[in-house]
Amino acid sequence: MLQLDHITKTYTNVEVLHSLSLTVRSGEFISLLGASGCGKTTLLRIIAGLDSPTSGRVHIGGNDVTDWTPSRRNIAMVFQSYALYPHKTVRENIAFPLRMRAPWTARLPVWGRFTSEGKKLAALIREKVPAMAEALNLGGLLERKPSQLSGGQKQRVALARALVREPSLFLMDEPLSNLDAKLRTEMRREIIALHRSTGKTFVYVTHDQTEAMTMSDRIVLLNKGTIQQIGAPAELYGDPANLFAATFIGSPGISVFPCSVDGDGLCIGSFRMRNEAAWNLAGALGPGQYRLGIRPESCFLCPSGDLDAIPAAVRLVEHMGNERIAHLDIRMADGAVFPACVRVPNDFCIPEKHAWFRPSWRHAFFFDMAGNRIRPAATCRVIPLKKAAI
Amino acid sequence: MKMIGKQHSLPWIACPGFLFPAFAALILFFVLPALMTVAVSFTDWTLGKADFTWVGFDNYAYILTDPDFLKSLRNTVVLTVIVVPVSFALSLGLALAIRSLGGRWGELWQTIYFLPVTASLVAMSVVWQWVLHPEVGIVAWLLSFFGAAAKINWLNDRDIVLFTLAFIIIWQMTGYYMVIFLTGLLQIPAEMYEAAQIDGADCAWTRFRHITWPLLTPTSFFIFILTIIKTFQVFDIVKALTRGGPEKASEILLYTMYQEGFSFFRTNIAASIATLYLLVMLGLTLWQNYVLGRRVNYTL
Repeated sequence: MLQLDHITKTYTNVEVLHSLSLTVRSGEFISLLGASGCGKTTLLRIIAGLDSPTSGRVHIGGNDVTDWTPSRRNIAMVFQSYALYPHKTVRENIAFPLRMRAPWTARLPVWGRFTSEGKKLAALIREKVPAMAEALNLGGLLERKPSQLSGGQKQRVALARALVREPSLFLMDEPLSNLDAKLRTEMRREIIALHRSTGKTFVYVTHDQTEAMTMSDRIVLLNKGTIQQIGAPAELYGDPANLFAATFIGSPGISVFPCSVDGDGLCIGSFRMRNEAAWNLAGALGPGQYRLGIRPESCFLCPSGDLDAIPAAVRLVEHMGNERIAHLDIRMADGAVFPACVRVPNDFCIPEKHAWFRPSWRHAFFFDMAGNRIRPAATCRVIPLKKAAI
Repeated sequence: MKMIGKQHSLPWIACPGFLFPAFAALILFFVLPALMTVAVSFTDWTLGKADFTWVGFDNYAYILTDPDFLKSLRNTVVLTVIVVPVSFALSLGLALAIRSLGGRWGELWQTIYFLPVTASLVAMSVVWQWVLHPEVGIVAWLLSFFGAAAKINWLNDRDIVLFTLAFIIIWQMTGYYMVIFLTGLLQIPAEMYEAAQIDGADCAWTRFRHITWPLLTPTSFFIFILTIIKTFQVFDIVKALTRGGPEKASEILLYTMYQEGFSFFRTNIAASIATLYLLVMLGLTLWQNYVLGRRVNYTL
C-alpha cells in the first residue's frame, strides 16, 4: 500500500531522516511514535507530498508518487491545529475537497451552477456532507463557522473533511494533542471506530505512547531520524529491540541498571546475584559489561533479603487505585544511586523505609553498552527453524 | 472587589496626572481648532476682521455652487478613482510576489519598493520636475529615443496632469501598502495552504481565491479605506509641482482649501471646505471601525 524506500531528508546540512524504509500494508493502522524532533512529522509531510525527500522514493498503491503533488496522491490529512478554513462554514469546509476535485467548469463562480458538472457537484455535496456530518455527530453545526466550535467539534470537522472523499491513505499529525484528557480518550476510540468502519490505511503521528499503543496495528518507533523498532504494540513493550525502545515505551518506565558478568556470576551494580536463574543467565550472556532493564511489573518487593534481592530505599509510593507504584532508590557500593519502579498490588504491604528489590529474571531485558538488545541463549524464546526441524 | 496587596493602589492624582499632558495637547491642538473651524464655517469672519456675523449655511451654499470648488472636488474624486484601485492591485500583487519569492531577494525587493515611502516628497518633486521636463527630461529623452515625435508636457497639459500626479502618488505610496499587505499575508497560517493543497487546490489561483483573498479581507478593507484617505490628503506634490495648474486642472480639495485660507484669506470659505473634508474623513474612519470591529475573528 504505502512503501517508503530509503527516505533521507536534509535541511541545510542537518540530516533529519536517515535512509528510512518502511512498508505499510493496506488497511493497517500504523503509528509513527517518537519524541519531538525525531523526524516523525517530517516523514508524514514527505508521505503527504508537502515536503520532498532529499533522496529515496515514496510509493503509494504501487505507484511511485515521489514527484506527485499532494492532491494527485489522493491522500487525506488531519493537522494538529485542525487547519479548518475559518471563513467557511462547517458545511463548506467538509465540501471543499469535493469541490476542488470537481471539473473546473463546475467551480466557476456563478455560471458553474448551471453546468451539468455543477449540478452533479451540488448533488454530491448534498448527499455526502450531511451524511458525513451525521456520522461524526456534527448534525446541527453545519452552518457554523469554525470559531464557533469547541476543540472536539473542530477535530470532528477536520476528520469529516478528510473522510468525505475516498482517499487512499489517511495521515494524521498529532490530531488529539490540542484536546483535554477526557476528550482525547473519547476521540481515540472514535478514530479506532472510524478505522474499523472505513477499512482504510491510517498513518498516525504521535508523541504519546498511550495513543500509539491503544490505536495501532503496528508502531514505528523513531529516534533522531532513524527507525528504532517496528512492531505491534505488545511486541514493542514485551520485546524491545534496544534500550531506547525499552525506555521510551512503558509508563512508569523501565528501570535500568548496570550489570556485569564475570567468572563468579552476575552482578547488578555492586550486588552479586546468588540464585540459580542469575547464574544460568550469566553463563548464557558470557563475561562482559551489560545493562539490565526491568519493567515495574517484572520485579517484586521483599520484606527481607534473599539470594537475588538488592537493598533499596523507598522514596515514594504512588496510589493508582487498582495498584500502587513504589519508587525506590538503589545505592551501589560506589555511591551511585539508581532509581527503580515496582508495581505493587494493593493487598501487599510496602515497607516504609527499607525494602528488598528482586527482579523476575524471566522477564529481564539485557542490552550491550551500545544499547542493542542481547538475547541470552537460555531465555531465547524463538527456536530457529532449522534446529527445530532436526 | 478588594484590592490585593498595596502595590495595586495608586495615589488618586496618578491617573489624571498621567492623562493630563496627552489630553491637554489633544484638546488644545486638535479638538478646539476643529470646533473653531466648524464654528467659523458658519460665519463671515475672515482673517484680521474684528467682528463677525452668523451667516448660517451661506458659506456652504457658496462653495457648493462655486465652479472652482466643484472642479477641485471633481479632480479629487478622479484622482481617487485612479489611485485607489491601481495602488491596491499593485501593492497586493507586489506583496504576493515578494512573499512567494521569500528569503534575501524578497527582503531586497521589499526594501526597494519601500524606498519612495521614506523619501521626502517635496525633495522628490524637484527630481520629478526634471524627469518629466518636456525638453530635457529623461522621459522625453526616452520617448524620442523610441521615435515618438510629439513632446508631451506631463505637468502642464490639462488633460494629462491628473494622471501624472496619480502616477507619482502611486509610485510613492504603493510600497507602504505593500508592507501592510505583507504583514497580512504573514498572518495566514501556512497550514491553511497545505490543507488546501491536500484537499486538491493545486493551482495557485484557486489557493488565492479560497485562502489568501478571504483571509486577507480585513487587511484589504483597511488598505482600501487607507488609500482613499491618503489620496484625499494629497497636498505637497500639488503645491510643489503644479500649484493646481494649469487652469486649475490639478487643483484638489486640500490645495483649494489652502488657497482660500492662506492666499485669498477667505477664512470662512476655507473653514467650510475643511469641515466638509473633516466629515468625509470621519465617515470613512467610522465605516472602517464599524466593519473591522464586527468582522469575524479569522485567526484560529
